[in-house]
Formats: sequence, structure tokens, C-alpha cells
Amino acid sequence: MKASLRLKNIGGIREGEYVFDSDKLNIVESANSSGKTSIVKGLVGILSMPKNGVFSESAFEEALKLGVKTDPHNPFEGFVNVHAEKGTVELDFGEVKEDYVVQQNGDVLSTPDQGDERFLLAGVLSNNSRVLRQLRGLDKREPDDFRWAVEELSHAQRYSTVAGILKTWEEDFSEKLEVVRKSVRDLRPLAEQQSALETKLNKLDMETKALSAKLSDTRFEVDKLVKERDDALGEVNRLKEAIQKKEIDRTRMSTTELTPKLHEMEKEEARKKQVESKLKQAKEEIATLLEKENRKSEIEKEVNRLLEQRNTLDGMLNLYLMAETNIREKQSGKLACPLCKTGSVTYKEITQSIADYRKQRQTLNSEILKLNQEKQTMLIQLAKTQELEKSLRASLREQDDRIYNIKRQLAIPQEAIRQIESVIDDHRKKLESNQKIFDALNKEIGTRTDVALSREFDEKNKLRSKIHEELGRIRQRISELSAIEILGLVFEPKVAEPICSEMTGVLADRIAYLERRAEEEREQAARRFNENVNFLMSSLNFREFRTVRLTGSPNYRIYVERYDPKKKDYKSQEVGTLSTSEKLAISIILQVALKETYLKSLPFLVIDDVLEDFDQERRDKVIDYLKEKVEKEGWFIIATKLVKELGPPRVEYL
Amino acid sequence: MERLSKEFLEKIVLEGKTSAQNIQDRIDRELKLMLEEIAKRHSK
Repeated sequence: MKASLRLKNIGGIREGEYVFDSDKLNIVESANSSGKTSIVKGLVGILSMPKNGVFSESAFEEALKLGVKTDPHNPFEGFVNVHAEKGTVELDFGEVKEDYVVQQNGDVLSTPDQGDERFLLAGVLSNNSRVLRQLRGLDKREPDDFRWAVEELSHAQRYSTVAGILKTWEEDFSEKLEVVRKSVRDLRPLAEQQSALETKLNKLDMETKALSAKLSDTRFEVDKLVKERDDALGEVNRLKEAIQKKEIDRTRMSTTELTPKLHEMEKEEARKKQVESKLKQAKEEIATLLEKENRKSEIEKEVNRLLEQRNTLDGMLNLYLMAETNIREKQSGKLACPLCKTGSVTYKEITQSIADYRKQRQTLNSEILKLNQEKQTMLIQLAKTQELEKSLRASLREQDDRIYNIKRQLAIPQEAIRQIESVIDDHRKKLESNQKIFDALNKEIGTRTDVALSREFDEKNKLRSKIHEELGRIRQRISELSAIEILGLVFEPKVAEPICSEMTGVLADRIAYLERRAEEEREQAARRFNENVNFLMSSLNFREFRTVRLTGSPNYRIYVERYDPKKKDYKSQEVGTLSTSEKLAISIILQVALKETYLKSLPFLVIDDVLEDFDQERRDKVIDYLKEKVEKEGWFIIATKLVKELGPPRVEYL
Repeated sequence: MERLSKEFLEKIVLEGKTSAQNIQDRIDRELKLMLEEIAKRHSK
């Protein structure tokens, strides 16, 4: 099968097409800085970019290391050619036709269907890929710590992610369950108190009624006054009941409608403040970058000066190159000085001068490149920060819209509460007026009736009032504790308790299941990985080691077993302590095993630069093995090779 | 149909190409439905 890779404005390549063969080992050959790495970048980019166009955090780090994403500090080595607005990669193999288009600023315009970010870890072996970086001690991980191989490449990490989301929910429901249980505990004595007070109140009502009747009997002439007073008292009591009911309504409205919205509003306002602060930072950064405008003109002037200097140097260099040709053709020992034409120079002096000029030219070139890079970095930073400012302004507008909407939603419960409070105020005024009428009548009756009976009546009435107030407070507290809000729905505590309990139970069960599955995935991945490593070891016949193994849970470390001539036995050794060439040998075993274990379905393996570093004997073995792999699996194995001949990169088939 | 079933969780894990935010949203929706069903049962 053939695979065709077409690149447009990727890395240093403006346009190119490369054909790979799944029946042969594909060797991409070119001189230094001629496009080998750009081919590798394009291929790795299209094979690793996920369908949604976004790398996960850890994959993004790898993409930066492998040049698949542009490093803002080094845009000249970026994925898209620095002189182009966008880069395009197309890859066809078998029935599959993929394309990947990305802009200079990193925005993805089109993504491949089969891209898998795990390819960055499992499908590429280069001096910048994780396996080799780690073995050489150039990664933040310890050289033998390969937990990522079972965590990031298998499904273990996704099981853990889902378990993590459920754990947060489980904690929320457990906390809610505690709140509900406390409410149930607090409600029991409150209900008992309520019942006791109601009984007491009924009893007092009966007693005051009896006293009233007695007073009425004994003071016939004040019958009318007593009746009026009793009516006023009845009205006072009715109004007190009505006020309590309205206060309960207000509390309920506040708990279920107003408070959640106010919390939401607080959160949105906090988010708005964060966006404002970021916007302020971005504005400050833009102002700082614009202030650097002078530096840009300085750089341009300096570059022009250096270019002029280089042109002069090129003129002198050409004169010396011509002199070199002349002296070789004439086979004479000396020649007139190409610059002053008066003195004479030898062949050795000419070649020495050419070497000096070339060295000076190289220095000038690197200075020009450095200055251009500085200017480009400034421009990219400015464009990115301006883009960020634009997006923050849009976020701020969205945030204002959200706050405006919440304020509108808040108006409904606020209006309802205002109306309730207005009714309460009205009731209170009427209550006050009736209380005055009652007090006045009572005083009047007191002057005409039996003093002892009147006092008793007053005392009982005061007590009744006190009990009534206490009852009101208890009823209000009961109402507060009786409304439990869960995910926007309101329940009574007795219903909320089994709901929270059942939710917590189901979540705990699912978390345990997901954690078990994650561990199974890790163990299974390690087992498959070791099987593949063993198979590779026997195929490659590396005599230095008996075993290369990944240990099991919980450490997942790589170690080798090698023969110790002193002890005449095999001993374990950490991979970080191996020699440079042994690390290289191990890297190829580990990389192919990772590919075999996790990405068998994506038939590509890229080996950039590394084969060059093997000694001849081992390189031959590796190449034979890779050819065998190609024949057996039908993979496209693409390796790069440095050659001296100049010209565009070409593919050789072994 | 059982809510937040093991099959549902396996499907989310094995789909592979969805973002973390998408996973969170789907689980949140499923939990709300589960709560409504449990609440219906306990409110009878």
C-alpha cells in the first residue's frame, strides 16, 4: 500500500509531496536544514491532532517539544512557515483521506478524522520524544518512571477523570445528607415544643374566655364594653396569625427563589471581576509592547546595517573564490591580491581568507537571524495579546448580559417579597390600632370591674401574647428547616434524606467500579507492554540484557536485567544508569512496544535522526528488524537520514 | 432504564475524543435525571 503526504507551508517547506510504501522501509534523506524535520512535523501533526482540534494539557507539552505546535519563544522553528498565513497537510493511504489546516497563530481550520494525540507518545522516536528524553535524564520524570505509559496511553486516565467528577458529586451529596440529617434532628424537638405551646395556648384561650364571661356576669353594665374588647382581642389574635403566615411565606420565597439567585449573582460578579482584572493586565501588556515600538525601528536599522556589511563581505568573498579558481587552473604558486591588485597571495592564504570570510558571514547571518527573531517575537506577542484583549472584552460583555438576566430574574421574587412585606406592614398597622382599642377598653373595664379578676385577666392575656410570639418563632424555624434544595428541586427533609442517601450510595458504587477498571486497565496495559517487549528482545537479539520489564502497580518502573561477570549471575539495573548507546538501544525497544501495545490501528511509526546514532552493527540489526516489521504488519515506517548532497528531501525505499 | 449505569460510564470513557467539559456536562445531565427518578419514587 502507498501513502501520499502533501505539505504546503509547513516548517521550512513551501510545497512538497512525498510517497511512502508499506512494503518497504522509507528513508527520508536530505542535508541539514533542507526539510527532513518539516516532513516529520507535518506527518506527526496530522496523525496526532484530535478531531476536536484541541490537545489535552500533557499532549500539548509533547506537541511543543516535537514542533507540532508553535513555541511562542521560537516562532522561526514553528509548525507553519513564518512567511505564510496558514499551513496544510494532506495524507492519503488506502481508503483514508485526511487533511489538517492550521493558521500561523495556531487556530485550527480543519482537523483529521483519525488523529490520535497518543501518537505523540507512542508513534514517534526522536531526540525530542518523551522516551528518549526521559532515558537521557532530560525530562521532568525520573528515567525509569514509566507510569505515564500505562496511565496516559491506556484508558486508565479517562476512567480516573470520570471517577474524579463523580467523587466531587459524592462529596456534595454527602454534605447535603449531613445537612438534611441535622434538619431532621433539629425539627423533632421543635415540633414537640410547637405542640406543647399550642396546647398551652388553647388552655389559656379557654381560661380567658371563662374570665371574660365571669367579668361579664358580674358587671352587666359593661357587657357592651367587654364584647367590644373581646372583638378587638379576637382581631388582634387573627392579625397576629396572619402576620406569622405571611412571614413564613416570605422566608420560603427567600430560601427557594431569592437566595439561590443572589448566590448565582455573587458568583457571576466575582467572575466579572476576574475577567476585568485579566483585561487590565492585557491592556498593560499591550501598552508595554507598544512602547517597545522604538526597539523595532532600532532592530530594522541594525538589520539593514548588517545586510550592507554582509553584501560588502559577499563581494570580497566572490573575489577570493574567483582567485581560488584561477590559482587552481593556472597551477601557479602565487597570484595578485584580489583586493588591492598590487601585492601577491599564495593558495594557502587565499583558502585561509575564504574560510575567514565564511566564518564572518556566518556570524553576520546568525546576528541577522537573532534580530529578526526578536522582532517577530515582539509582533507575535503583540498580536496574541491584542487577540486576548478582544476575547476578554467579549467575555466581559457576555458576563454583563448574564448579570443583567439574573437581575431581571431576581425582580420576580423581590417583587413578591415586597408585596408580602406590604401586606405584613398593613396587618401590623391594623394590629397596633386594635391593640390600642383593646388596651383602652380593658382599662375602661378595669375601672368598673373587679380589680382581682381584671388583673388575672390581664396577666393571662400577657402570657398568651408571649406564648403566641414564641410559637411564631418556632413555626418560622420549622418552615426554614423544612425546605431542602437539591439541584434546583425543593424537598421536605424526610424525603430528602433517603434521596441523598441513595444518590451517595449509587455514586460510591460507580466510583469503586471506575477505580477498579482504571487499575485493571493499567495492569492489562503493563502486561501487554511486557509481552511486546519480550517479543522484541528475542527478535532484535540484544545480548546485553536478559530482560527489559515494566514493574506492576503502583510504581510502573522500567528496569533491565544484565549479566554480571563478577557474580556470574544476572542482576537488575535502573535504566538511568545505562550507557548512552544502551539507552538508545532500549529506546527503540520501548518505542516499538508502545506502538504495538497502544496504537496498533494507526499504521505509522516515525523515527527521526535516531538511527544515525547507532553503531553500524546495531543499526543493521534494527533496520533488519524494522524491515521484518514492515513485511509482517504492513506499517508505514518512516526514518530520516542525514546526507551531504544538497537539494530537496527525497524518499529512498529499503 | 438504570441511570448512571456502568454501560453509560464505559461509553463515556471509550468514546475517547470528547473533551473533559463535555464529559462533565453529560454526567451532570444524567445525575439530574437520576435525582428526578429517585425523588419520584420517594415522594409517592
